[in-house]
Amino acid sequence: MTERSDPAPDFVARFANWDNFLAALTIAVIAYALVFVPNFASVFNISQAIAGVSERALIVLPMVLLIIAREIDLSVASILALTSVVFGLMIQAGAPLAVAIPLTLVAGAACGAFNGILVTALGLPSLVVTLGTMALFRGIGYILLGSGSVNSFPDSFLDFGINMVGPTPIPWTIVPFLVLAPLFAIVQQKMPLGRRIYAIGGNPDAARYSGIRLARTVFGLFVTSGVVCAIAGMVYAARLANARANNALGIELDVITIALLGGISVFGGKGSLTGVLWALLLVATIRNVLGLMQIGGDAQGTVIGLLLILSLLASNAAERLFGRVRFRLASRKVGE
Amino acid sequence: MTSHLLKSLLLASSLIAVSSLASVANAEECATGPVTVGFLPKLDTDPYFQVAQTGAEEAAAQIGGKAIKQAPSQATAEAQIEFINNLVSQKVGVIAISANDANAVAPALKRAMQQGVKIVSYDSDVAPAARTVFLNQAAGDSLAEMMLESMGKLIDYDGEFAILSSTPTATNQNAWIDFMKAKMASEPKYAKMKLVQVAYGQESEQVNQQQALGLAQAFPNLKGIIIPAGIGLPAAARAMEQAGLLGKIKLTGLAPATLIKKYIQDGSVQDIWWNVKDLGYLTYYAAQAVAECKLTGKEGETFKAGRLGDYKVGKGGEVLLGPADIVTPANVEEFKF
Amino acid sequence: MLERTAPIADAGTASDGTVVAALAGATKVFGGTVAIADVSIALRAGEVLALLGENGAGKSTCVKLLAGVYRPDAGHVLVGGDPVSFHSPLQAQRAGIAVMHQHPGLFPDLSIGENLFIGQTGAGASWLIDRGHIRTEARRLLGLVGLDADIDAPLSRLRTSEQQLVEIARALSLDARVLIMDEPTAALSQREVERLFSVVNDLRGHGVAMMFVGHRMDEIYRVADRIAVLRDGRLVGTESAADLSREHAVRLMVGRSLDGLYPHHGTVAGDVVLRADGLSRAGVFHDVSFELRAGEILGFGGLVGSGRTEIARVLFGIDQPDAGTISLDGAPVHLASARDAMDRGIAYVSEDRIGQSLVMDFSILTNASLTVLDETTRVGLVSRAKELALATPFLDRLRLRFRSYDQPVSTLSGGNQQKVVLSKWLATRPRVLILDEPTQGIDVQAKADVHAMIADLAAQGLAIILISSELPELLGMCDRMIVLREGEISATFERDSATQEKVISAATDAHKAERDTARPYLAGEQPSIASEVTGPSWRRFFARREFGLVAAIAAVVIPISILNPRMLSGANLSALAMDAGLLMTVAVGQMLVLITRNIDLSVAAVIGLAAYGAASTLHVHPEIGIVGGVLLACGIGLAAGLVNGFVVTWGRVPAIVVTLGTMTIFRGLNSLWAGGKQVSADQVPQAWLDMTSANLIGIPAVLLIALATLGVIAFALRSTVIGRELYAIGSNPAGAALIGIPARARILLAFAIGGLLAGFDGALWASRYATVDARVAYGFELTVIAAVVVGGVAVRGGSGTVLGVALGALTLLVINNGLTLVRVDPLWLQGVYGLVILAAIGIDAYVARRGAAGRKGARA
Repeated sequence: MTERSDPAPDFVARFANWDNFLAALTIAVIAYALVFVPNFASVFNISQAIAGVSERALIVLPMVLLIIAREIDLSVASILALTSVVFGLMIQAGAPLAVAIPLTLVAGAACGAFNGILVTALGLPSLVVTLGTMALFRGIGYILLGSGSVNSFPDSFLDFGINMVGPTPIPWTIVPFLVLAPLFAIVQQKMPLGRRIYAIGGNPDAARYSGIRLARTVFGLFVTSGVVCAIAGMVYAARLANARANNALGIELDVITIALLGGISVFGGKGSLTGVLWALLLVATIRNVLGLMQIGGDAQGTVIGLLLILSLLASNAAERLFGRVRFRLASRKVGE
Repeated sequence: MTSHLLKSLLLASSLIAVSSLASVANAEECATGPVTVGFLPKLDTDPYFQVAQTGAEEAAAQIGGKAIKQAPSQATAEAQIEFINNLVSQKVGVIAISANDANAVAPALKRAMQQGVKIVSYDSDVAPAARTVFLNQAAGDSLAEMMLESMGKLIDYDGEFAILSSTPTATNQNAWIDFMKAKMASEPKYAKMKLVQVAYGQESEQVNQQQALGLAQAFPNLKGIIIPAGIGLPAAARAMEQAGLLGKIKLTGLAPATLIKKYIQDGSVQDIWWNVKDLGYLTYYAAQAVAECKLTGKEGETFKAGRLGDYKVGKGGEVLLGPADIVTPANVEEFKF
Repeated sequence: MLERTAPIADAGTASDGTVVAALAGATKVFGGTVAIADVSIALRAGEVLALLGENGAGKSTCVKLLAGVYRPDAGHVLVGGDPVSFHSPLQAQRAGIAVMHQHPGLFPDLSIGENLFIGQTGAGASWLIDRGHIRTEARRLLGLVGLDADIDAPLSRLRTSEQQLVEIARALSLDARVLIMDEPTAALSQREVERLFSVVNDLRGHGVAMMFVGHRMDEIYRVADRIAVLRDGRLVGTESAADLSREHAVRLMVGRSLDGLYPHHGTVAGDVVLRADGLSRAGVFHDVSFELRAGEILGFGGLVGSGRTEIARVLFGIDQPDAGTISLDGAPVHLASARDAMDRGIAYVSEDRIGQSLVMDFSILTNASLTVLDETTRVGLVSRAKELALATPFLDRLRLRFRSYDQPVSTLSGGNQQKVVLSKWLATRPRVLILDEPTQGIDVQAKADVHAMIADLAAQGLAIILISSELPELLGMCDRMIVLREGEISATFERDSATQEKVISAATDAHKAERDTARPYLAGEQPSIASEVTGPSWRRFFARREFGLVAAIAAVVIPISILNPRMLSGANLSALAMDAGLLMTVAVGQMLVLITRNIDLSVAAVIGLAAYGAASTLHVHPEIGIVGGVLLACGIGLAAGLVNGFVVTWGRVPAIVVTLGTMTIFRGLNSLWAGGKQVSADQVPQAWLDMTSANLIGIPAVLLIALATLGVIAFALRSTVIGRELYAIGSNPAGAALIGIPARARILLAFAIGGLLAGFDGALWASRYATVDARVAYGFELTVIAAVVVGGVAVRGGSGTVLGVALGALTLLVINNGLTLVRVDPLWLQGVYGLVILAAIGIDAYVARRGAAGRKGARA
């Protein structure tokens, strides 16, 4: 017979939950913006703010899985640029959308596979590999297209980039994210693959000894990242009606910031998509509000940077504080 | 977890619903008085646009309305799009944009127009369909010809030269470069001049210096560099000076006269420039005229721009500030920027 | 206070029997769990006190209290009768307490000699490293423990048991009055244990007070004078070893007797399930053949390092044999991976519970279902009901004690954790079950449960291999036994014909002659291992990295100079030198941070902020002069570095996150300060601009300054204690904390110096490039990190040289310069940079793999 004692209600843990904290903060910021920031609560503003994060939202999905698995992919923005260039060149050469889109996804997968092979087969640290491929992929983009750009796209494609879904204020460009996010969430929380990823991040050796194929799984994650970045590349090209090699410079750090803010631990094995979605919403709102207050790009970054650091400091402090509370509760037991 | 996801979705959709109920901003078709003009330069750290802004503010003081400026920290289209949207949300009457990328900002500008905001461009044009008028500092091919002519005179119309531009996507610089190439191909007097490379200084002092030096090292027979970028010309001059090549490699281009004064005065560099403040002044007047539907971009229309006088719209909705001047040691003091 | 040179005889006021150190009524609580309550233990001079207890009884906590790692929540730690309060292990060390830790907190990247003395800064110890002293002392200490190795070789080249010996030597080097040994024999071979015990005897004669924590009764009764027993955090008895029988001791530990520890099961051996023929793996084991039948328990006996675990890993598909075959049910199989083996019904319970069997953050249920995830799904989604159905039967059978299935497995005791591990494997319904030290480090009660389960499984027809270092367990559980010695089968026994003596004799060397060098030799690659560890070939390997970079630079410079002689022109070299000076200065700062296993992404933003700050202040207040400008820039950089450092160390936020945040914050501050304006060349004093164009003997001053800086830092890293401590922190952060290296202060120092150098670089930058705005050095951080990585600094910390960094920076710049000179489109340069980085780390990995392959034979 198994012995079981009563489950001690660890209300402290439930209360000091990161996701809830983020949710509260996000709601507070949105509420503030709705009431105090003029021009925030308009269809145009909100729909454009949502459209503006379409690519970041997409890319953060595989990035979260990678970070949980103790890897990282700094080359996401470069894959986005390269695949958008490839896409543009195909369109320019006259290929129909039905051909260009799948081939672009393949290009993205190839980039991801390149990352994956270097990390799994050669065992190189992903931080440095993707630092190199970040430069390499964008460089290939420059080689292919030089400093030029492709601007003429089929109308249906451009409509996708500009229009809203029906009468709603939801832009079409966020739809790929809305479709993929639940899929990623289900895989992460409910499917064996998700468990395996958490295991790889939590203890890679234990994962291997439990029969989990590390190399295959990590390789698959990088390929997935590449494919999703290719989707993001096409969304970008549609939104800006523009395919060129310097697309999306620097958004990899943005995406990583959102993931970390969302509670994904840099050490791997911890964190979930829910927090990240809140973080995405929070960052998008803050940037939008600051822009409306005429605060520029770098200064917006300051606020986000402060938010990232302060939130982590606060969570560490809270842990220590709650630890002391638990200790005081427990020490009463010791005295008995 | 599922309950979390559901809660988040519910919250998100309710937020969107709330915002949909908010009133839709519908700007009037034609303004009856001066409006707020939102200036959107290429980059926040470029002093060029700050001087232009002083001109806009001078104009605003004269005829009313407001001139505000928001600039991105990166010289990319994506950064500018965010600000276009911001300005629309702030319900400005007109956006005056100097574009980092002519085509990439067009969809956003068109969306802005749908929201009732008028668009004019200055310094660096956008796709013509996305704006009403374009305020150009000088006729593009005129500038190009002047630069080419200047270089030709400096190197006796014979030899290798390079171009050091700003960013690969900048509309105005690319237009000038194309003009120059066309001119070289069509006019026999430039036949013995050879363009060996176009490099990019990325609007950064460091990159400009490195690129200038790199060109000098890569092409041993290089005789001159054309630098149609405001930050680039002084940077290249400094780099050449440090390397002891000033004078051996001739420099010319477009740069704020004050930044290049030293080199103008000792004759090692030539410069073609204009009154930047006036460009801002003109743009403001034009923007107000567009807002009041007095200016629609048709060829032949005229409008009055305060102390600068009357202006006529040329082909493709382009308005020229006026001819540019060659900056010489004699007149260099007249340029306030 | 202790001096290292004083002989042990002077230690303490040693007459036998004086209490040298003690715990008095000590209580320690961790977050709601009481680890120990009101425990009083006295350590007397010239006496060994053994501390017994099940896992979770509190032995480890007692050790850590005495070692200064924790402070008691109630009660005191006493030294010489006076209560003391240790705020760090360093303080305990200085009070004369030395600890041999269970998991050696040693530093793989430091040399053996450095490992012995790192962290020992007593009064009078200088900040410089005295290499001569280290040499002589190290040789003495290694001789004491019987380890023959090159003092300058990096520790990572030693086997686990040898590293344990270094740990022991390290504790001995402190000449302490109190020596605490926490499971020191776990990884040692029999001969090495003997050596240790002779040292203990020696120390006993010198009046050192000792505490021995262990699990093996034989050893305890050999070495202990008195025995203290802990149970559930309380002291239940302290007796002299002579007066306490083993039975009584066990009864105190668990509250029940020793009987029935080894269940009997009927030997119903069925068909041959698994068969190994001539299995060999170079340098590890050779020509191993055996048969395994259904329903039988086959034991693998032998010393630690004899190859048993390695054979198991081959049977489980983790490693591949070089020769020989494995057959299942008569048909030869090739097991390419663990997954393969599991699919064929083989299960392996690893000896490393925490490292290889469990994911600590996972709950009990998640761990238990990890091996059979595919069976837990319904419609592709994991179903909790199915999970429970798979896990509960075995957890119940093993009598797991737990609160809820969702409890994190880290909160369980060792024995209960092992039950979860077993459950996880039994859920796969294996036909062959390989158990590697299944009862190591778990309490007696749990042991009994596990043994019962094993017997049960055998009765049900499972074929079981039991690897164990506990002879009684082997003898009690197994039907047949194979004894391995140095990778070969030296004897096989049927159940009744085996005795402890026979097994030991088969496991050890035939000639029992004592040897001074206790390092066991392995069949095969012996000579090459020795030569790799010592002397010139090692140095050659080390130099290869830098040599490779020089070769790379030459490979670029030579052909390009032929194509375009301007590469070697004065102007070009001068410009290159200035760029190199700028990059090297900030790269070496980054290196300091990387060594400690951190990273600083904000360097470029700091350069920008410092550059703009200095330039704009000079513009407004030219009277501060060049010196003032440089100092201001350095000050800004230092402040930034301190901010980073504080948040990383005291805020305990990971460096990559902090510097990601500060990168944007500093850039933003720069933007706000600049307000969109520039400071152009004519707005600053000319002297400021001339600062960097100065030339000394034809070489730009910038480069000379940079080289001087690099020289100072290289010296500091190599020859000062603080420098070596930086490496230690990166090499093994937990170990560094344990031996009292003030990691937080050192990391703060690294960040501060990194920031200072970035600030200084900002001043140089502003001077060189004349016009500054908010965009200075944008994106430069990636160039810096690339230079450092190419220069051979490991991102995981602990290694790297200043020379490497300098060469790495130079390589990148030379490639950039060279390609520009041969007119490669500047836009293409990015791609080339990427290739260079990938090539550099690829070569790194290749070289490391070659090194590891050579060391394969040395691994335990």
